[in-house]
Amino acid sequence: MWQVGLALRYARRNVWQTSLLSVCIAVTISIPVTSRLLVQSFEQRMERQARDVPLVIGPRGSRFDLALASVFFRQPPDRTITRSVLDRVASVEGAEVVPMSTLFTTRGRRLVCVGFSYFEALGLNAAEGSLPLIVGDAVLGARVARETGLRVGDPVASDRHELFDLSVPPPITMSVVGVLKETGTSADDAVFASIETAWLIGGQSHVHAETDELEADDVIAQTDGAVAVRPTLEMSSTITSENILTIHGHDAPGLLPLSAVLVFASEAKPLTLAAARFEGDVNVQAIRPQTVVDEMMRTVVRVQSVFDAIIALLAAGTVLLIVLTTTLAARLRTAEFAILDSVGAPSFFRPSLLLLQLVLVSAIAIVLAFAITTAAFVAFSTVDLV
Amino acid sequence: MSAPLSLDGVSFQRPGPDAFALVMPMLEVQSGEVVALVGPSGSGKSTLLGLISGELLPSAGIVHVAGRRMDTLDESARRALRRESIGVVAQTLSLIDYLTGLENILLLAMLQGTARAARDRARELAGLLEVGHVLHRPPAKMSQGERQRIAICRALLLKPPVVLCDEPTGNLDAARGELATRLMLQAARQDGAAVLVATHDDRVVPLADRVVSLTEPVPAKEPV
Repeated sequence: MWQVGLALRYARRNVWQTSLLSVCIAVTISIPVTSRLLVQSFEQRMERQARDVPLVIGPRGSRFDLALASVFFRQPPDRTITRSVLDRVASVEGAEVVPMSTLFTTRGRRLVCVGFSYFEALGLNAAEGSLPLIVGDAVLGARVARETGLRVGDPVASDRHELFDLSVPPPITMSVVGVLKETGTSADDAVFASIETAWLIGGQSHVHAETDELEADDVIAQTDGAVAVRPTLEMSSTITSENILTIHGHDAPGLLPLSAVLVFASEAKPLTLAAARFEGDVNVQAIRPQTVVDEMMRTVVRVQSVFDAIIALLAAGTVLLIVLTTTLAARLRTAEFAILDSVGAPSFFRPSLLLLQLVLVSAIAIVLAFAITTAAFVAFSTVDLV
Repeated sequence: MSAPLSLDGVSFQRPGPDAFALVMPMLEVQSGEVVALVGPSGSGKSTLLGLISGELLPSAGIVHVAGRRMDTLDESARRALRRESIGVVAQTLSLIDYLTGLENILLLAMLQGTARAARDRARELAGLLEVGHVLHRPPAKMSQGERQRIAICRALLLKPPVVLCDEPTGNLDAARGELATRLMLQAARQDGAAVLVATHDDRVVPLADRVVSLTEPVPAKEPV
């Protein structure tokens, strides 16, 4: 197979042309392969997370927004539901109901405030420390811990959620009590706290601080028996063992805000019964995240097919480019082929030489495409696309 | 013993606007003999070499190369016979530009899978033709004379029974041309090859044992 030797020597001598052609082919191969792999991986992750939460009850509005907020911790809908919704489904036999508030953030990450049974229902365990047991405890998702460098025992404050409203209470400083095991889900990018912590941050409940001195500006109202002071002065920003027992609210418990109520059940019947309770409700809706995600993925697949068509055109263009390049190369090599003919090279030698060179370029391109695809997949497979 | 190269009653006609006819009643070249083929430009010297090497087929007559009849073979067999029995030094400089001098010399041996065995012979020939110092250079880094001598080494490498040279001094100045031809003929005689040199160079003709002259081209008769 002296053709192999000639093909290798030609490629070595024309290294730039060979490399350029190989890169063209590699990119044409790797773009569709990478995009398909990423979409597949993304779809699998989405579906797995959606399957883990069988039913979500939340404010009426966009089903997609509700699913994305309650399962993937994206921006929650503007509207909330009240805790009374939890009471309406709590009595469904065989259903585990979990209150959830995703209204706040800490260090730019979503602060997911949930009932304690959420962790058991989703199989979330602490890799370090413990789960959030009391108000003011915070547990970090694995990636949050890695990226922020926060450790168990460190303080972490909620982000100020309303900059220009002085009546809004100041951020609450929580204490990191644990770090979750890495799950490859949205939980890795979130910070978890108890549902009561959300009400404390939202101002629905509070603790009182001792103070000896009051400036005149601090008093906003005064009667014979009581003094009302600025909310920011009145409420403490840190939960301590001394003030935790003084936490209280003035609203009726049923009116406390929630982003959603998650319903877990091992059978379909409790889920159907729970969903049925909100049939026709103008303020509350029940959604099945898996159905919503399937619908979203069908849209993604439609977009992917358009993308595939574009890639097919690109591939056709590349094939034409290769044909053109090979034809031009063959023309430039007329003298070389004449020499081979004059020394009596077999008649199949010329086409087999050109074919081998295409095989060589393709082999280089496949190796390059594999490297590009692997690098792109590693870089982007964990990126949240929602 | 029959001559390695013989032509008997060979004629060749090329129809069309540049119609052309060549007639060679009889030609034999013995082993170790050098025959100069002379004639004016267009007299058919290169065509005759093409008929012998099997790149062209005669209209009539018989061409024997190394004891085999070339004109009755199919394309594939003619190529094989050319590969095995004929060394060709072309009129134009004929080296492959991405191979080194040594690789160019070994080209034919590589095609036959005998490159390793032929390496020493290649070096020996390169020394004889005084191009040992350019064996590892690409043709672009050789002088014209060096390139021509590398091509001669390639033609003689496998000790073919027949060597065909088409204007071997065409691209060289007088001194270099004569030196290259002299060295080539010396090597070919040593190997006992039958050498046919097409040339119109007066300095090459005296180096031959015999001279065959082609007359002015005969205009071909157009078919009625």
